[in-house]
Amino acid sequence: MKKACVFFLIISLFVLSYAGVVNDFNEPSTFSRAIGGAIYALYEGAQSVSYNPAGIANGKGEVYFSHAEHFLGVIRNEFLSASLQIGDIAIGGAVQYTYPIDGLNYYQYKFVVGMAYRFGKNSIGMEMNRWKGNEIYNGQSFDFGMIMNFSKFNLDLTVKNLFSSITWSSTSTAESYSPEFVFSAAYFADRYTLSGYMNATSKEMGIGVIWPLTNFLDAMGGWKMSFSKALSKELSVGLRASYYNFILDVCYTFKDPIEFRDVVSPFYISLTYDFMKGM
Amino acid sequence: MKGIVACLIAFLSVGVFVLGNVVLSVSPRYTLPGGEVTIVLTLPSTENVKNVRLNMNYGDQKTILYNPIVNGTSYKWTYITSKIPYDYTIQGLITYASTTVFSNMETFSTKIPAVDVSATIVYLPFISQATKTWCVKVKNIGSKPLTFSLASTSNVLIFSPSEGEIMPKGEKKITIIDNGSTLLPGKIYVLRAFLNTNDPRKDQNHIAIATIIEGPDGIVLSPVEVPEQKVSVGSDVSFGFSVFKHGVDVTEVSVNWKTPKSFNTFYFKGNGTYFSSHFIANESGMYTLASINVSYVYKNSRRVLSLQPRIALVAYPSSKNLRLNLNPTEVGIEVTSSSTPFVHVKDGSLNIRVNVTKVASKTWKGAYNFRKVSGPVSVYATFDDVNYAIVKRFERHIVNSALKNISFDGGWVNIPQGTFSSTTLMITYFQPLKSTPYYRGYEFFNAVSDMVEVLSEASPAKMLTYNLNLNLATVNGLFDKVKVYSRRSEKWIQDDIPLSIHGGLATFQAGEGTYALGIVPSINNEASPRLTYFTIMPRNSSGQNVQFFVSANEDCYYTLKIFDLRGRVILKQDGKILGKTSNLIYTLDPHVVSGGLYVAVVSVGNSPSSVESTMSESFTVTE
Repeated sequence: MKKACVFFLIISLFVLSYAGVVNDFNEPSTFSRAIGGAIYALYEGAQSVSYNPAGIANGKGEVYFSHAEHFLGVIRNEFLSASLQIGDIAIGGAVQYTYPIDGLNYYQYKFVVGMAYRFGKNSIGMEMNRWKGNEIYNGQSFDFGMIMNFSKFNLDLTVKNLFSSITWSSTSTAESYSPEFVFSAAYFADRYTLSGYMNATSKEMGIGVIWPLTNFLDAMGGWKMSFSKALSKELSVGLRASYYNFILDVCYTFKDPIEFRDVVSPFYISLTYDFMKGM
Repeated sequence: MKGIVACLIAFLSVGVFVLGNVVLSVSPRYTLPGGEVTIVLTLPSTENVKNVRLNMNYGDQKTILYNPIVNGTSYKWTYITSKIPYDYTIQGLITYASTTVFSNMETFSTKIPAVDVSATIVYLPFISQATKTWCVKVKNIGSKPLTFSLASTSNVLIFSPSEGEIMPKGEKKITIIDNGSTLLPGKIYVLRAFLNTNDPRKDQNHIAIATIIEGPDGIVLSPVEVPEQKVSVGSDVSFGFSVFKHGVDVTEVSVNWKTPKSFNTFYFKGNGTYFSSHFIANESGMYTLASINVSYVYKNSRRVLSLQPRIALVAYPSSKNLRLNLNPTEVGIEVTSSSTPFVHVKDGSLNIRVNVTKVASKTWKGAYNFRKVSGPVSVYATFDDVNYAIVKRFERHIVNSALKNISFDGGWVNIPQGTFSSTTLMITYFQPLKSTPYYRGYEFFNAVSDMVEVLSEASPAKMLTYNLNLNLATVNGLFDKVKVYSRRSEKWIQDDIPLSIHGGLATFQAGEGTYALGIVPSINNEASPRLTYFTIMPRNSSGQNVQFFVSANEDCYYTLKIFDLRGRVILKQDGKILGKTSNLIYTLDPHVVSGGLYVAVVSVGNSPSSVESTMSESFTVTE
């Protein structure tokens, strides 16, 4: 526990301040949401696509789908991704569809393709993001990430949305955004895994724990804060059930639980299929 | 046809003798079916004439006319044509004792295009820039297509259509427009409109359908004066003009200003020559003096002269400010500006420069001792770094012991008889308080009237009665929540002054001071308020400000949070809202956030931290 506190202290030193980040649904993974968004330093394969390209090199071949309902269910997000590692090279891709269901005519797609190179327990990767939508003429950005292992620690540095811009259809103007610097660390204890991250640009940070209950069932919990213009807090709980080639994740988040109770809480469910398992 | 050949043979047989001495004529050659024609056969002599008759052919028919009226050597027939259109051919036949002589052949026709139009004569007692329009109906009462075109003596008259064709029994409406644009006042113009047709009847191919006489001027408007064309928002805009008349009675004058969001109309009684008024430019944007309408009576006929001066002024939002601190003898002038202000005062015919002294980094102060006369005083502040002026105005009233009402734009103050023991100078200063059609839940109180400041040279012995106009749209029926607020030491304080509201007018009694009407919520801490609606306008913003409206079933506290797609709170605001009305709780400048999809969540409760009801709505911002 003492070591866990140390690495959070370290990444807190890297707090930088930038304005104007991409307004994107950046949390499509149920597992990530359940652990407070602290997925960056973990190898989660298809779930790492659109987070940290280095994390897709988990030695598996996966197809992943998640469904998220956010803000009283007003915003829906569907996310489909896949990853495959052959030798030291891993490739991944994803498509994400975000849309409101309260009568507003808006939708946006995000397409991601990426690759990673795994060397031992370390990995580096990059991916390209493109956006399209009824209000988005086009948009693109690049992510770069690396995970370095030190004994029971994984340390991560991810630069997200580098060279990012979105051109809006209604005004034909291109809007540029700051690159985001994400620092993350994970600690692998014998009976649990502790992970944390900080997006120094968007001023988000989170910490999560994965606690195996049985060989088939993991409990997850997370706490996330964003502190850009106003403080926002959320408490997440989740379960991971594994059965043969399938992993089912569910997550419920109490967003700003004191002020709004659970009224704006996101709900996530996802299914992962490991098509390489047993082959 | 046989008849024509027979006539031709006969004609050839009598030769030149016939043409030279026997003359057949017809009048008119063209007439309408059923019309009358006169046919005259003139002979060189009546000697040995036994019989005279007229052969007539039309269509397939042949007729012989006998028994002409004889007048000397002339033989005349009056013939009523058939009611069916025909082309007629006639020839006279004179029987002498030994021979028969044919006259020349003549033709006439009722198979013609025929126009029917009534002439319009219009007399205008003035020349205006107004557009006048008349309609004339043109009918074709003939049996052939009527072609027409229109012409005028001046290009001032415009026609629609300017040419065309009318089928038999048809009609067309022709619009004559007098645009008057090139006419100069002070002269008499006679404008004529003509209709040219292919109607062969006499005088029917060129018909005067309108004669418009303009002038001499019965009404002359002096140049309209708008002293400032570039002012700051909140400035007092004045305008004036003179109406000189001759031979007409002016009953009413109205002035329409087009403001950035609507129209503002001023009405004046027609007596007097000089007309002026003023208003406060509350909104930024363009104000246009759109029209001046002078209603008058001329020769027992009511008419309206309409002019479109189209004088525009622009009100700019400004960080600079001009404040007037009034007392009965002088006005303190305080200017807030990062650049040096230049202040002058218009007091009747006086135009006086006022020196101001810098008292703080952005504050200048000065004073003007005004005269003890009735009338307005306008204070102007201009600057080197901006091209607009800030204008404020107050009114002086000389009040004696008699009952008096002093009016201002937003109402009036009633001064009872005996309020002052002697003639006294009173000052009224009227300013807008930026009331909006929606309750602004995040302000201290929402003004539903403008502010009026009243002070006098001598202390009044009686209470004054204030009558202030309410913004009914803002009050939205919540009359019981309307309170009187008075300004003391730069702060607005709610006064417990009894208030009666009738329609859009609130009446209360108070002494001298600065007053406005406003509403604030009164929250029951044990209530369970529920949101009734939450609306965002517009939900797709392409650079426009995004406004958030909330309504609850009763007065309550609210919290608004705007989340981006990441779940970050990009804005949090709380305050109080009124129940059962639309509360504008926030206006988002879209330029301060990234483009994309957002969700706004609002909750209400009976205390700042409680949540009884929540609603959310998504919106987008694209820039």
